[in-house]
Amino acid sequence: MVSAIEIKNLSYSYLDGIKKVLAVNNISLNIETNSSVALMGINGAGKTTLIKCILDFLSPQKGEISIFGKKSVDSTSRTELSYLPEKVNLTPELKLFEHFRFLGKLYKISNAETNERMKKLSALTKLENLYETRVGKFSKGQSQRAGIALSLFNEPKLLILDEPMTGLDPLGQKLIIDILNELKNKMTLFVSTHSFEFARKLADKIIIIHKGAAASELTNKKDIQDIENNFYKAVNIE
Amino acid sequence: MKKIPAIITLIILLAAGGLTQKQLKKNYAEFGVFDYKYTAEGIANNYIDAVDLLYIMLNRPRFKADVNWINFMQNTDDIFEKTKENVRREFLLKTAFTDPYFTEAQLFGGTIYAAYSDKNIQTVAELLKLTNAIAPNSRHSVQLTSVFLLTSKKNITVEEIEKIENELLGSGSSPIQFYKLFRLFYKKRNMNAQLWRLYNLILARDDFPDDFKKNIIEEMKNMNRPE
Amino acid sequence: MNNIKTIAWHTLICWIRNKVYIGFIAASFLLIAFAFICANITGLFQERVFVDSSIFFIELISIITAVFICSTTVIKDIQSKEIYYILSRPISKFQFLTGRFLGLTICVIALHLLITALFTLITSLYGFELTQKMKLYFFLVISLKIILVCSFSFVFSTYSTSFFPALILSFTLFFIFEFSESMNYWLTFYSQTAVFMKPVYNFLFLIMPNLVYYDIFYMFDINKFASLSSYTGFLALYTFIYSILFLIISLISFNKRSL
Repeated sequence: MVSAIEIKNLSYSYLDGIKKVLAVNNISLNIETNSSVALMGINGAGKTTLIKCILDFLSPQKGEISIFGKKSVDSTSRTELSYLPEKVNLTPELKLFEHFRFLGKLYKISNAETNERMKKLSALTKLENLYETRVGKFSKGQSQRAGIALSLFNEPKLLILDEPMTGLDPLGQKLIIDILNELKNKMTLFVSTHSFEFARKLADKIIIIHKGAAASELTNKKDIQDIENNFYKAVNIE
Repeated sequence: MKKIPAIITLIILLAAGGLTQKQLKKNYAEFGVFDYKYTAEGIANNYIDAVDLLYIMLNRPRFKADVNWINFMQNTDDIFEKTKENVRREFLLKTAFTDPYFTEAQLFGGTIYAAYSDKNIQTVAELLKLTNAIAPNSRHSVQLTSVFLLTSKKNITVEEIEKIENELLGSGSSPIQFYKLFRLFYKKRNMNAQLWRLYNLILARDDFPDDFKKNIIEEMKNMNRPE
Repeated sequence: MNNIKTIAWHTLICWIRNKVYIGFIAASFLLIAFAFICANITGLFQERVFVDSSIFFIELISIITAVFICSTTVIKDIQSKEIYYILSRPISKFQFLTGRFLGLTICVIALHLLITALFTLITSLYGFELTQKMKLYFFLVISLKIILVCSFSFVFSTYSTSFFPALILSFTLFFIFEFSESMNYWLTFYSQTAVFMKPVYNFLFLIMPNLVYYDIFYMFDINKFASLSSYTGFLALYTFIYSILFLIISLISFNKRSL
């Protein structure tokens, strides 16, 4: 079976003034289809950089990334993928239903089908009364929920989330956990997170990266339950 | 995008752009080319300043010339105001040298300037030189010559005056400034017969302002009707 | 093609609702009103003053709008991180940039159309002698100029990391291209220029886009436009060539950029 994400010997560096910083250091990963993987690490470990390389926002100097067998530089590799960034920034001038229409046009989905999906996802994320509101007027929680709804619009097979709990109140966090638990075995989840609790509840596999390299990979339940100790052990390794 | 194909494409596009520009230049020349030699003369004689030059270099001489013309007109009114003579001169020359093809401004402006100036009519001579340089013996240069003669020649004969009056007013549709010019000239020289004839021509025009006509009628009441 | 159209639609909707754009529309109406006032205080040549001023203001506001929105759009997308929302979809960078460019150009031309319509209405109401053909060619030629200005301003949007340098660089390039005819004249005829430099200047000014070819309404007797259609055809080709050139440069610059 084709892996959802396959990364081979990936390295990415950038210049900070005249100093070269190696943000991702020779990482190789394999994320199986329909698995739930949590990506963890301290701030500046390279989690977001790794995700950006996967999505072709950054061009790595070395290595290859495939998404469902297609090279990540091919834009069609993102047809079955969706991404929810840490801070959801939707076009503020558009109304919520216009965002759905925009995605409908991109994915060549008919207006009728778009409306149906919009109603379903708005109900799921409790945004039913906000179709006609400009997204710029949403609160942070509403924006985050709108981001989730839009990320599920194209019924992706792979959902990449970058610290989805940041800045959310407890109700918002519970909503996300409930949604992701429901999606857990229906699609591949690749979530970058700082929350041990979240990783413990959701993940089949936890990848800990430290200083741009894959420091540890936890696959069995016992290690995942003891995530805190394993994490501290991984990040203390020089 | 691969480097070498991109560079080759860019070079081909630049070459195509250059070739198209050559053709455009030929077509553009049919419309006439703005000649910078008048600009150079304007700079040399301090007629135009840096702002005028900026507009000329930005291919907007008409707009700036219009702005200069508006300034000229704002400093010109029905009261024969002499204190603004230098300002009028400055703006009239700025107008003419910013857009030398604005020959109507040279003509009417020259006339207005001559009408409201007591002595210094060198501006008309300067404008005359410019008009002759662009379109020698055109209708404008003939009329400007007439204005110049009218305002500069001390011993001008009655025949010469009548010839110039015919030239400037003969069409019956000349602008009010020409009539004002002759009015000033005849009043200064106490040429009552000619003044009376002129006033009748003014009153015969339907398109002149009522205030102006009222003034004329008042003056005629106080004049001795010539035989 | 579908993606390009979708991005163009998205760009158009965003900018039409943007307060800055609405401000430009308001400013354009005020400028036409100002041109009308100028015509009224001029005494003589009212028609000439109104037409010249309006043409100047229409072009001024269109160019300022083009430079402003084109040189800041992609920077705004990157700084606000909206770009992640779009580029995480199955859209290539080429489709994104082309769609953005198309949407922006349509936006500015829409503003130009609006203000030209107002100008046309006033000239018709006051019986100013400006033929329909003249008005059409004016609209077409300035639209072509807008496309070219949008294209080189767009380059700085993909290259710069902040608004101010992008705006300054775009305006600088605009003035260089606008001045190129007069600069060419002064440099090649000025006696102090070294002889070997004259062919260099001639070559540089030949390959550089020259905006003077779009300024045909400023210097000439308004009746001299017999061969406008073939001229406009060549001008459209000229615009197309340089717009593609700048779009390719934008793409190269954007590809190298870290998002």
